[in-house]
Amino acid sequence: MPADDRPSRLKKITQNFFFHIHSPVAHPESLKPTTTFGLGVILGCLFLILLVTGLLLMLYYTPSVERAYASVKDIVFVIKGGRYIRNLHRWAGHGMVIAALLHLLRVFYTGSYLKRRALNWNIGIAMLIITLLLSFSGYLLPWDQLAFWAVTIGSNIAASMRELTDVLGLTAVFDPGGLVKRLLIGDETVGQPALSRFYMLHVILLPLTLLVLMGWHFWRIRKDGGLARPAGTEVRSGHPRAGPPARSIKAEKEAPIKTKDLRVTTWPTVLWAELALLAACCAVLMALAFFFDAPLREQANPMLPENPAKSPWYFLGIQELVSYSAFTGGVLIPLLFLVFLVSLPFKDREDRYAGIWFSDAKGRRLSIYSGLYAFGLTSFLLFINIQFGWMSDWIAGVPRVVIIFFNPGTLIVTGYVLWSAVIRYRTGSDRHAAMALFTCAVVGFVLLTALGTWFRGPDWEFYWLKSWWPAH
Amino acid sequence: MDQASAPVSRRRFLGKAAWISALCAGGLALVSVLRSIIPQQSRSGRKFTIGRLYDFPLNTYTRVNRHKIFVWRDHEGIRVLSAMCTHLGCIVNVTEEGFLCPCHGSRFDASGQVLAGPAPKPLPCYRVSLAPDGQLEVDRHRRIPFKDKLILA
Repeated sequence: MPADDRPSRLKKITQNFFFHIHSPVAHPESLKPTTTFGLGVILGCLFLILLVTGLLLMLYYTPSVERAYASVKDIVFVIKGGRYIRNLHRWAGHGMVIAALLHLLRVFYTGSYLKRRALNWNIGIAMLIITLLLSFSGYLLPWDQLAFWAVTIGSNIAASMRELTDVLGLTAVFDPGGLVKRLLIGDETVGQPALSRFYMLHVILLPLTLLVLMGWHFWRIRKDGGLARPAGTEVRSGHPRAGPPARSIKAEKEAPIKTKDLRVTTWPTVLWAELALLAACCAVLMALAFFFDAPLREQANPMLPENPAKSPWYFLGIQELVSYSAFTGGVLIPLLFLVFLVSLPFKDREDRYAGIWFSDAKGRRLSIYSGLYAFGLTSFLLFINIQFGWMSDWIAGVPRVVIIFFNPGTLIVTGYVLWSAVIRYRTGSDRHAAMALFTCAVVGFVLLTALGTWFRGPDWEFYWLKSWWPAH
Repeated sequence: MDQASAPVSRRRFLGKAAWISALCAGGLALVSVLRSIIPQQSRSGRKFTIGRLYDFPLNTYTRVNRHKIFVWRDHEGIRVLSAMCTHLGCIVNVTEEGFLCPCHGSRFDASGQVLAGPAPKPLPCYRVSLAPDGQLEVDRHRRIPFKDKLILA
């Protein structure tokens, strides 16, 4: 029987190419389920499942306007197991978007961007964006009505910088929106160039980039000293520095304190936990793929928009904002949120809060109040907009530029920023101000996404229930 | 020896020259490679023919699906209006007051002016001309005011 002492357990990790992505030891604090909820590992598992099912789908899929829809139909109705593989791929893709968003919440609320983790936080932001792009680019490939109109709208959101350049009268000479759109879909409207580009992005460029960033992300965790832990969780028991400071190096060396490494060995503890998460992911996906089919509508018809034509669900909040103004909803507000996320670890350096959910008692209260405030403000403005319309319905001939900068979307964002500024003033803490703003943004995102997903019907009118939609 | 008159060693000179020429050549090659990802303006679809005058019924908008346009014909002549919503590019439908976009509910009057909704601009009119073979020819890159039309009375 091989030896099972600590050194041989460490060797299991360090002497194995595939395992040595792990640190040989892990702190018990990092392994508590409530520290991470295993979301990072779940994302890795889902990515693995997506790679395998994606490769299988590539055997039969043809990225041409004439053949794409028929080849997806073949996958669903002719290829043995094809429908099941496609379902797995679809639900794993959605799962990855959800898990990535939850992972963002987890990392933010535990203050895990603190203590010089700015680089890894921003690698994570890049990975979130790539995950969204991966899901969005995969959306077009079936070339059905859902795909075609979602991407038509998405590509025009990408061009929505034009609304501002139009107002300024610059579009003829300076058209960044049009350039982004043509880079994305290769033409003025969605067609074969768009399908070719999206296929290349979806199967090569984005997965490869994500893979590289994944490696970097994991490596940085180790370089940053493992997951963020609350102050006071020591690596060694009876560490000299835990007690009163030693007078000199000599005194410290002679201190008669016996220390013991509190960290557990990765083999087998962490590896079993990861295997369990992988098994759980597979089990949930297999059940979902068995019971729920991925949607496939009729073939894309460039002359007949779906009514309502909706983007993928995670963009429906943005689509709701875009229905007020293309520029503010499609460019300005997402960009502001991105600037907030990217600059966060450089502005907030209150390292004492690292690794603690909601920072402290005040932080917990504050998050609840922020959530309630954002809920109230957002639903009030949405109610006004749905019930009474907006300025172009009240006053004839309102200049476009007024609506661009004064619409429910900009008012909501202004309300959030003001609230955060008040919190900053009252608490004097960047971390608390950031928590206030982030909580508002999360509540706003959830509300707008729910509105766009469930309560918007034909002609983007408000309906409480889908069964109230008018029959065509 | 002062800085200005210090001789440059052969090694340093050659090293610098190698770096600069490599960067120039590499940069130029990169520019020409990256230029390929910006697509050419498609020439096809700029000018197209839509048939003869008498193909279109009088005093109504007829949708020409292939080109995403509406054609209006009356006793004086003919006019072509884009069917693509100026908000996010969905295809608008004809209603009693004019046009309605199904995607975000933008409403236009019968001359393409915005009545309500997020559309930032009116639906554009395209110039129509008579080709030598008697077909109506539309030029998507030539926009004209709504009051102008091709007079064929």
